[in-house]
Amino acid sequence: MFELPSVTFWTFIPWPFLWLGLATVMYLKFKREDENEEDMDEI
Amino acid sequence: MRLAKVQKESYDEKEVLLHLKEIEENIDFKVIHKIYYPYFHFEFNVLTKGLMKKKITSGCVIDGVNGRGALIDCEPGFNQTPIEADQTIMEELTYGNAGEEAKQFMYRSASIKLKSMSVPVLALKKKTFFYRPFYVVDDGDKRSNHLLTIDSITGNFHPI
Amino acid sequence: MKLDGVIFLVYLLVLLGIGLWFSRNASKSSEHYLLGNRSIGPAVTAMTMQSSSMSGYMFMGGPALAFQQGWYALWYALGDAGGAIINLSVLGKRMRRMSEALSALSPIEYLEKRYESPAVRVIGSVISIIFILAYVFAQFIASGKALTALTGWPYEAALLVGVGVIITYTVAGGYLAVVYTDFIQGIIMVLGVTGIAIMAFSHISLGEVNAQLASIDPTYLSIWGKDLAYYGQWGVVIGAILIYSVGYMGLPHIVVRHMSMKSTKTVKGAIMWAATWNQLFIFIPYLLGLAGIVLLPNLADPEMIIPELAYQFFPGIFAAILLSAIMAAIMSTSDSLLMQAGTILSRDIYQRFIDKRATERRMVWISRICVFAGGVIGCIVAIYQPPSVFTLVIFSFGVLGNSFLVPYVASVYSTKANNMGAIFAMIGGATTNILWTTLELENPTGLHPFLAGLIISFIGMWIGNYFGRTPSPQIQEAVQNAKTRKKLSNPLEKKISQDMASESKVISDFVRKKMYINEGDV
Repeated sequence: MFELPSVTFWTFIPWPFLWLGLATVMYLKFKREDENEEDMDEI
Repeated sequence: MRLAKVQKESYDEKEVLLHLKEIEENIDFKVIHKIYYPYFHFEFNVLTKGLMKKKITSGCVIDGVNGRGALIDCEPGFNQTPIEADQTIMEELTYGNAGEEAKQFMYRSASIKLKSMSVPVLALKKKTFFYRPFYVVDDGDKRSNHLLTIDSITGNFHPI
Repeated sequence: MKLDGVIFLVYLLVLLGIGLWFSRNASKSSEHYLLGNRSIGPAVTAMTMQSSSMSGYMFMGGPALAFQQGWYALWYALGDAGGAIINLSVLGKRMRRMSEALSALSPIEYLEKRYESPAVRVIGSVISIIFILAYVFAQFIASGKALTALTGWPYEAALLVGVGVIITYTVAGGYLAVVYTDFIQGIIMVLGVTGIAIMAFSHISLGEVNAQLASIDPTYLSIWGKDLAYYGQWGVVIGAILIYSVGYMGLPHIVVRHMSMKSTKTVKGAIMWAATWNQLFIFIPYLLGLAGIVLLPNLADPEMIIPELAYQFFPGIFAAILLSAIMAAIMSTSDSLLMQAGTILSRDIYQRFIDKRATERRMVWISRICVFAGGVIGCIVAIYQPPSVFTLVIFSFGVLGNSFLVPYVASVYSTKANNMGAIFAMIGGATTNILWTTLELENPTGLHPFLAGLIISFIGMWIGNYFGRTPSPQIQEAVQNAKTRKKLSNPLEKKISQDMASESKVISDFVRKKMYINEGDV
């Protein structure tokens, strides 16, 4: 792919996707936290 | 009890509760204290230098306890109001050091805004000492004891 | 002077004209123009500062590294692409709660209050001033180069003129800034670079670039650098990733963003926004650097890739306008950073510790002397021993990160972290990075200066905590509270006014005392 050696390709290319994945995980985590906080307020 | 210069409030006790209700309808707040907070107001004639010579009037209020400044657009309106000693926070600054703070604050605001290092010329026009009413409200939750301070002029609030 | 130089001058004059016109004519603007609204404060300044503080690096440093090292340079970009995500995840919420509890306005003041030690403030200020200036030097060099490209003057002359303009502009008053904010300049830069990239890669695809790189030197395509210079040196590679992925957590002017967030709920949206934006734009300058190897084989100075490509792919006038925008962005970045350094010196050090009753006039002079000295030293360095923009940014960014990362993170995660811990961590981290860089310990040890500094800074915090004062109960409580949920419901939490923090604190003390007295009566 992109005429890159496979080591370089597989070392670099996944990163942006990993970051987006991590961002999504953190987003969901914080979202759950925020919702829990609201639920506790309603009790 | 004594008479003091107090800023005209834009929210009275009932209106403050209504204001909070608009933001969070699930909680019934109660006003538990009304507190008078000391401030100094200073108004200056400001003469800026350099390319944009300009003479303007501008003012700031200085927090009478810790000396923090805030810019204000126009002079606040005041009433002579009777206040109780146990509702009143004592000021810790005098006109002298509050005035110093005010100047510093004006210079600083000007330099941040202009990204400039030249000093505008300030001439004091007016100074006033006054109290601003704040409400302390309780959300009625016995376990957590959440209190909020609310500014009776702006309706802004902050948790205690 | 080339026509392009004239275009640059016209560009600046137009900006100046718009600034003057706005301030004269816009209704009601005189007060607003001078003083802004209440919310203008250190936080807002720092935010605009951040938006373009990478200007010199983005245009010259990153592409140059890729030009010299090939794909290895992408290690830095990979870390950078995740920097904001990590920063927001680790510090975001807690820092926001903690700074609210301490009612701190500036990042250095925050450290002083959290660690209850004026010494922390002094040391923090000194490190910030020196390395913010070093950061500016990189901008100086970039400005000299941009001006060389525009006017065709020799580098030294362009540098002196560039720095002269920047310094005069800072000291006499930055009127350009009135309408032409740092933020807009940041956007223009990103658009400009993207435009160049679109032109460059429609001319030659990334695959073709790589194929040609392989025929020039296959090691350009390796992950270990040209000629496999860093082969197997994981300590260097990890440092390269870490510097921009975690380093942001140690930059005072970026940390301040957490303090100024509207609410802890802001964090999750900000993470997604930053993550997407970064994946789109961080890599572009580096890829242009790679394309430069193929497209500009005879380039003498690798840092000139973007200006050269601009001239190659755009008609002269557009290239000149783009370069003028770059130059203006560099000027604006430099002047914000210089002001910041001057302010820290005069307010945080001189007024606080040397002469409490200093007049405003004297303070301004101290700031000016600081800026002027920075300019002179900067020129000398940039002419006689010009480091590359990349080296200088990595160095100053690294030292700032090594000094403050551990103290900031520990300030919200540990109730035990104390004054000596913070001091050891700052001094240890900074010294290690400086020694590692100047003594060139990277090669013999296989450790990146940033990684070495980070390790020492962490150890410094750990050891220092055994010697320092235990944090007061109030601070410990504040750290505990910062860990857990916020106190208010969502709609209320969103509308809290940060302006009121200090009044609220006073009222809170007053009410508590009052309640205590009343209970005492009973």
